Amino acid sequence: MTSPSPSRRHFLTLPLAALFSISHAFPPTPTPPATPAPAAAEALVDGLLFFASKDATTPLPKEDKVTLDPAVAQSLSLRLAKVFKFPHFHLIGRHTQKVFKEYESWVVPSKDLCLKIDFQGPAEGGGLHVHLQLWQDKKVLVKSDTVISPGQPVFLGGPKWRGGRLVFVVMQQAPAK
Amino acid sequence: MNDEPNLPPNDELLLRWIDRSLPEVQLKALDLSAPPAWHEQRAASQLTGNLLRSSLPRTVELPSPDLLTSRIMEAVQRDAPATAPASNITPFPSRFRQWFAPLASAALVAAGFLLWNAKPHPRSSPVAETYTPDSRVIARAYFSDDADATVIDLENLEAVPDSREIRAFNIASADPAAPGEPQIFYAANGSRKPVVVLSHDAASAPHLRAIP
Repeated sequence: MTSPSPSRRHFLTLPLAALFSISHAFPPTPTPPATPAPAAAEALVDGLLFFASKDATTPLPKEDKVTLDPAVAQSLSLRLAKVFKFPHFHLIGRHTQKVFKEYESWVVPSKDLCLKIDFQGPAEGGGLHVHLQLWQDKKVLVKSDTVISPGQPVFLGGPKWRGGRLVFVVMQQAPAK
Repeated sequence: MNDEPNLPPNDELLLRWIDRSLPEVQLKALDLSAPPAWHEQRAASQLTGNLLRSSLPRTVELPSPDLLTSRIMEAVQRDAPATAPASNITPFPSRFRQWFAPLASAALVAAGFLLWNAKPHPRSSPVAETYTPDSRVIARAYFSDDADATVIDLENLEAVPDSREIRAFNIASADPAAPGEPQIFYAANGSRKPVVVLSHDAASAPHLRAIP
């Protein structure tokens, strides 16, 4: 194999040097301790899996009973309907999970769709800067840097299923007063 | 997997000299003996670093690597001509190329960061930066004022077969697992019944095993 010309090598070298240089401008990421417990939690989030459907009587999977405050459920259904054009939103899975400061957090309301959350820092209004990864089985569907705030959830429109659609909602619970 | 670039020894030395990560004695020796081209590279690198530091406030979160890479590549592709025109222009003299190449690459990196930083970050309407590993999948990300929510709408996803039963849970928060150990999630009804076990394969993909 021939070695690259000097100018080509410089083309690679300088961006790397610049990135090294930038890395020195920011404080290093703290290394997590070897033992995980007790892990510092930044917030509590709800990961909710909805089945958006045109049919109110669409048979749902016979799984564990999933509960949500009726007022919250109704409000969410109304908000979801403004984005996804379905009249019915059936809650089929729920996972309430702490978001850790130094560890990845997995939100698993379903075996079929789950969400990895990496906390990236606090956001205005008590929210969280997060890196999200939505997984379907062994495949990551989307990666996203975004903000979750109390009252301002993230809706992830997922794959179609049985004439409807799976929708993943992640919302931050309001901090306890 | 080793992600370190496989650089020739001289390039590695150059990087470490620019990054001031060599032993002090070696740094001083190279300060005196490095060829002029290396000094030019160091000056260009410092210029880029200063430019980036001045344009990125310390509070700005650096984007995740995949997202940053995809944004830079998008910018490069957008600015590149659709087809390279047939050229009868005399190439630059090699001496000119030697200092133009590092400056051009520095400008590319700087442009990528500036492009990222120039994107509006509305405070009242959080939005999402997205990256889809499958290029067929399109992620439309926006803030819906009507729903008061950030929306990431994935299009062109493969549908889940109708015959498949979606296995859903109602589970409570779990603490992180010890390194190398699977994470166990329990039912939210207070029964402490284990519901699902999360482990990871060699590629860090999740493996979920539902407990009957």
